[in-house]
Amino acid sequence: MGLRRVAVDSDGLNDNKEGFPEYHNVYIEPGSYEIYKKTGEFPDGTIMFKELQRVLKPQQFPDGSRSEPSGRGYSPGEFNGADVTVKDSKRYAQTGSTWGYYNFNHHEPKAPTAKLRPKSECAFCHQASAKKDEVWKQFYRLLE
Amino acid sequence: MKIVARVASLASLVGIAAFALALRSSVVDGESDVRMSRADEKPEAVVDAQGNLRVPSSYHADYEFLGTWAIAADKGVGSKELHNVYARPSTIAEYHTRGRFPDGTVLVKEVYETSTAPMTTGTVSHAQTVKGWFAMVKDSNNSHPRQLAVGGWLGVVVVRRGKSDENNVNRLQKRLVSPATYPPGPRTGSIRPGIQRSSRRREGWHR
Repeated sequence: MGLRRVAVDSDGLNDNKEGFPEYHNVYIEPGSYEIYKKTGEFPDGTIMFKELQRVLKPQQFPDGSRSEPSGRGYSPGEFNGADVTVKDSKRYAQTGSTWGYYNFNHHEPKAPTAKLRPKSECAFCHQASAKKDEVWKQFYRLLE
Repeated sequence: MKIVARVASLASLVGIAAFALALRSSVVDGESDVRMSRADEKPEAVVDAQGNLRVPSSYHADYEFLGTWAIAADKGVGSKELHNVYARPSTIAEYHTRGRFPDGTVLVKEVYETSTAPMTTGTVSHAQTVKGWFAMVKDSNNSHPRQLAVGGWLGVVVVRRGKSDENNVNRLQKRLVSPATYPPGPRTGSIRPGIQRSSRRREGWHR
């Protein structure tokens, strides 16, 4: 996608309909990443971009996996929308969060614009369990 | 990083409206030229005069994420390994332009052990511990005759040992990466499945 720094690699997600429906590839822009590395804090303006990506079809096994030379598993397939968070400690203060959470569709094409999602939909869970400033630092090797 | 500047200014001025459109337009208006300006002017060498290969230490900064291959869990849902593959932006651009990888193209694959757990969004397997790396460099002229470039590629596998700080990739690489000699053998054959975990060893993609 052009954001060269990959903060997180990929996550498999199970919505109980498929064994492994999606990859979640998370990116942070290099400038904010450099600041985070130096200060340990995400500066206002930090953007994290979560790219949603289906796995390659057709499935060969009940859990959705396929056999390939590397073994049995999942290859990246079609893109499937995106979630984006932006840090702004003032702008989102009325929502009780330092970040704004947006969804640009859970399908392609990605939406050209998006509205702020309510706290109950995204921020609540991030605040409850994400280890660093609503970011799931515990899952991102490059943020530790 | 034109794309970053554009995204950042949008975010600060008018929110992230048109964010996706900005991304899309950047892809077609010469972004590859911008990408080449930083990381590819003087790419880090990964192969020495004798054809010995090492994993580039700067790939997280200078390479672009190509995609991930997940090895399925032996039992239950999720995956037990994530294989993340990276290449330099200029080599990806040339592949799109000419339909082939130029000589000197480097592909890096990092192999992560996963941790799988239920979360609000479902059961998630996330990268937990790096286990090692594969690297391969395009060498269609077989310019290192003592090494065997199979299918036009030289390859190496680096297996991480121990449980030290997996986040410090550079330090690990200094400790683990040694010159690799491609093992002699036939030029054709099956692709080896998976990564060799039992010992530090060297091999190519194909043999």
